[in-house]
Amino acid sequence: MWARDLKLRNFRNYAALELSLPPQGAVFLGENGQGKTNLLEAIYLALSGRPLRAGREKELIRWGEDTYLVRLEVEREEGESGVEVIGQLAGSKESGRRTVTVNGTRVPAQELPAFFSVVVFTPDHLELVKGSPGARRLFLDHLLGGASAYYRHQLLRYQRLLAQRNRLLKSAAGIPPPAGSELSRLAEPFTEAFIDTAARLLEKRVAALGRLEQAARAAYRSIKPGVPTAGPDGGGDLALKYEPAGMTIDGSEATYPASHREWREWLWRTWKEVQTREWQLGMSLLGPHRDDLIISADGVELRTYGSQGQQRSAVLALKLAEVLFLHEETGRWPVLLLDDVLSELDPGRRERFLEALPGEVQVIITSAEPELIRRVALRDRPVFSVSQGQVGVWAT
Amino acid sequence: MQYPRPLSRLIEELGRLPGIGTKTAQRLALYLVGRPPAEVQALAQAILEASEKIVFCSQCFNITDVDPCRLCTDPRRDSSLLCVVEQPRDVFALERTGEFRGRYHVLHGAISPMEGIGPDDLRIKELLVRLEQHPVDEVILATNSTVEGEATAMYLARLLKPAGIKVSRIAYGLPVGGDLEYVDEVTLSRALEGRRQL
Repeated sequence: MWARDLKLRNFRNYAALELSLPPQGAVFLGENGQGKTNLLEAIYLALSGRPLRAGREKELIRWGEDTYLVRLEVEREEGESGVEVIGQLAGSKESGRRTVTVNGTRVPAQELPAFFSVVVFTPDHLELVKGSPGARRLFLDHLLGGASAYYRHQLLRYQRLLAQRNRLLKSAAGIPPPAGSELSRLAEPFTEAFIDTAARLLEKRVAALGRLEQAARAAYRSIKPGVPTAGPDGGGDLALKYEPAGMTIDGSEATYPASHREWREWLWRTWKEVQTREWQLGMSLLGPHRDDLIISADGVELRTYGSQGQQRSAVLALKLAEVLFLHEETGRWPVLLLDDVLSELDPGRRERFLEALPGEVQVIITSAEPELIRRVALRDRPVFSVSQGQVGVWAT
Repeated sequence: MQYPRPLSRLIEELGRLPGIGTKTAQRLALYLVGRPPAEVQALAQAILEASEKIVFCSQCFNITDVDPCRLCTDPRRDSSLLCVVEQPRDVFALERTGEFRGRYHVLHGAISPMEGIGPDDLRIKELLVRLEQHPVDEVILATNSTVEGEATAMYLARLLKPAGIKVSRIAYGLPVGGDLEYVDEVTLSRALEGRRQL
């Protein structure tokens, strides 16, 4: 699918904008603070229902206004669709209200992945391999949520259960309540639902990771420099392993519970060992919100032992795999947004990454370096200039 | 320019109502001050009367103008079936189906630690007393399918089952007349989990 026409009113630093994009994508050049990322943000918001940067409605509205509009006409594999996002300040409240319609019908913002697919790549993602587990969990949640309504639903449920359950655990003030007490009885139904939902997410994450790994392996081979080498345990390749909190994953092949029911049983068993500590610390110690994704290549775990080059190649492979995975799961080619990230990469990896992208993918690129367009194969993507909330044709 | 004081007060009061934002409150207030006084009087009277005469039924805690309410005193209803719901509006929804002929109990909410709502804030004690005084054959838990509604149902089930009371949970599933193809995955997977033998 590809984004065709973008219309903005009072969005971030844009008073009014109308812009047509070709199926292969475009490049936006401009100095920092001119509104390049705001363009990607508008597209990302219209396709995913989420702002790119954490922010409230108030920050998306142009200064001094009280409503913004983002309208995007999209050519989808299934047909043409128009999506409209309207954000309003709700009275004196800080939060505001966001209304999303697809072809004139209101849909919940978090349900936009049922219609559209989008992948975003910013310099923050370069930390995906060596950064905190939270970033890798977010990567998995966006990936799986982008492909499945079931996952999105269970994830929302899980987050709610986690918040409710942590509140209960905290209320014990560090002292585990005796069995049969009111607090302990109150916690039981929340723990039961929590473990059940956690098991559903775990089953989906581990199953998806097998498919993602295949795509990431092929991508890694085409991105890393030099001739592919095979390590001792066939380790010339990228490997992804899911590491649930409470389970030790060693070098050997991990055997995970095979079904939702088996995951539930494993969680119950493991939870019995940590339940006292949960009350003492006032938080849930097991479940998808505590897990990690172990990424290794050429036989070494990249987070700790990888060279910067290996880490970079792995990040690019994961982003590429995200594109391929979403296509496989949804039948749609996602729109790829590259926010200021190409100039961060060395020429070799940059070229191989762009080269490895399937031609069907619309790629929308921003950069603060005009030099880039001379150094990158743009494949007839038009170049625009962005300056003070205005978009024009780039004149060299 | 600011609204005259009486008007801005009306806007403020209307803005407190659920689902009414500032803009809607302004529209309603401007509409009301433009109507004939008799019409406005009738509206004000209706609000006052409803607020004075509507009370909670002392047995089921549904809203009513006679206590005990008509649902609790109707001799044609089956006293051996008790349906537990979160809100009065759930009673009206179930009544519209015309299918349920038992009695109700309204909890007035669901357990939510984040909002500081525990069992003591709901009509759970009253439910236990009621079941002790008037035992039933079956309690149907019809709380919502939200995280809080489910937890409340599970909490109640654990409370009632040891007392030897038969407890059931309403099923969630496919809309009637719905084609499988057009039902979302979430509803479909729930319907599969709640399947029964034929």
